[in-house]
Amino acid sequence: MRVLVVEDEADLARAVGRALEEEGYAVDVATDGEAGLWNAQSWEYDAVVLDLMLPRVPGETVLKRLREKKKTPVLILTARDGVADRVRGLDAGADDYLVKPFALEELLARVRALVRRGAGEASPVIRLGEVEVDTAAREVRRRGKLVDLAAKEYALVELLALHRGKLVTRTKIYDHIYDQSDPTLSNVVDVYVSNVRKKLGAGFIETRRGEGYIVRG
Amino acid sequence: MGKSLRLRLLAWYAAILAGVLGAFGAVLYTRLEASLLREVEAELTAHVQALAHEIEDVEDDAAALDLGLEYVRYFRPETPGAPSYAHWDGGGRRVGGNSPPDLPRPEAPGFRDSGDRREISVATVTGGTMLVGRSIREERERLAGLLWLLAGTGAGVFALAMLGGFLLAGRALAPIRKITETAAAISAEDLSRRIDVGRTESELGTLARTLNDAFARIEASFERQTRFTADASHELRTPLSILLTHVELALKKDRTAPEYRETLETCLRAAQRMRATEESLLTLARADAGELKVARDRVDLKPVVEETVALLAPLATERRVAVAVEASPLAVAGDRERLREVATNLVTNALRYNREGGRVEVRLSRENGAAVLSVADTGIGIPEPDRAHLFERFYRVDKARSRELGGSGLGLAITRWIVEAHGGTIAVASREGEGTTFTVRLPAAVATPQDP
Repeated sequence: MRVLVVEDEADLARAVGRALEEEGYAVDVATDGEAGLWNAQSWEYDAVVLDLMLPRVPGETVLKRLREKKKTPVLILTARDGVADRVRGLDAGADDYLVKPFALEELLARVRALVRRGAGEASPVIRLGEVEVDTAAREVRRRGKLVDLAAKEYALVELLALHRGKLVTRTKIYDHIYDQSDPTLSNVVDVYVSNVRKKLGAGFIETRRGEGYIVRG
Repeated sequence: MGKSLRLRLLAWYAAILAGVLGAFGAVLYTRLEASLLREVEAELTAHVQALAHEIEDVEDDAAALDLGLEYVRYFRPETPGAPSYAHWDGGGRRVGGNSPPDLPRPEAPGFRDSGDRREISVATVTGGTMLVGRSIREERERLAGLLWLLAGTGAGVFALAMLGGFLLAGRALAPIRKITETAAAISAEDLSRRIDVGRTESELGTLARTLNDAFARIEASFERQTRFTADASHELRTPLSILLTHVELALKKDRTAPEYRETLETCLRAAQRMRATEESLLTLARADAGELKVARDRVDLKPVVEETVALLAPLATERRVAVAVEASPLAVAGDRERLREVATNLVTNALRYNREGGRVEVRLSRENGAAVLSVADTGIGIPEPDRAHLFERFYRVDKARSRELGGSGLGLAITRWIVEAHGGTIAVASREGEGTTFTVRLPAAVATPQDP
């Protein structure tokens, strides 16, 4: 899952970005509204964490312009906790908001919920035959037994699970599990697919040659 | 409050009215009483003189006094309480009259009261005494009737006037009650409401307008306070967020020593930022409360300015800005540390908001008895609409830029406070794209003999 963080406080952006990375997200960070908008419009993010007070282009404008083109779930961060401020943010098209100072755990939980809802999933646990993906705990079980997955492997499983029954292209996988700074080539996706098959069963991921991958619900 | 005022007004009104009515009644009554008595006395006097005159005619045969028909009519002996006369001869013997025989002879001529009778006696030419008297019960009864009439009318008028006064006072005080109610509602619920002054074109209208002005000022200061609190809280929330987020992240799992070090460094930066904001807020709060006094020492601004520039040399180097100082010895009466703060704030801003390779010119000179410190930069300038707000607390021309550069948004507010506390002024001139000049004018100290 790929998340964009738009926050002008470099120290804060770094901490939020790192926390999300440790959760297995691919994270891009933008430190002003202009760059944030450009990123959000150019990539398929699973969620955007957007500060409202931004230099150059204010957060609300970023949100409105983004909404003209995309439905990416947006969590706004604001230091102003007035009802009017929150209402304005939500009315501008935000899906959720968090008031600074926030608890990191809450931010992570809200991002997880946004990613889930963005994929049309209400429950945090997705069942795929004998495999169970718990998107809240970020755990995968096979026949009730916890399977140890690397962060990127989990990201791959979650992406496929959230789009179960649908074809997921290799490019899409690449875009969602890597951020801009990752120099990795797209064929590493194949490596992760093969690792996941080893751990969750050969038939868990189907390959559509030349098109992409699919998991069955 | 309004009610007690109404009752007090009414009490005063009642007291005055009671006094007026009482005095009026008393004067009327006593004048009438006196006039009635005078009438009776005049009548009696006329008759006693007539009787005494008759005696002169009758000569010395006092006993033979015979009254003519008109006297009989007048004295009507058969009517109870009618006038009667008595005649004593020179020896004090009762010689005639239709008065009761036991009527004592008056000691001396003149008026006297005898029971409910009024009597007058005169000396006759024969050396005797002639007395005429009559009952004045009728007059007394008339006076008593008048007294009741006066009391009744007075009470009626008093009651009517009180009712009228009560209603009038109520009407006069109604606008006050309305003003009070509105004012109470304003202070309790909604500071933006105002008292309706439309129909109160009197002293109360002035009161209402005065109150409205006061409310407007309170509302404005309240709004300023609210905005200031919101800004201050916002200013503290950002570093607090950084602190919390970094600590939470670091504690999620075991980290390496360099990672911990980085977390601690970030937290230190955030805490320093909070401290700077807190110190500035405290300074302004103390200044607002009037607790902050500026000293009035003799301060030569030249070394203050030069030291400031020297201290900020590292920042100038970092920003690649050249600083030129042109200062002549110039003394003002003031607070050395506060004046240093002014110089530091202005020069720091000039360095921060300058372009790379730019210049800062600091000039200290005397102009018309004022010490003038000007700090000019070659930065991007300040847009016209922003200039008016520049010295407001937390006002930022470009929020992001100044935050990146570490400004708290309070520096210029504090600077202006210090300058004004010294009786000086601060002004800004700017040309977009070319630069900004801040000019501080302070009253120069009066020259003393030990001055160079």
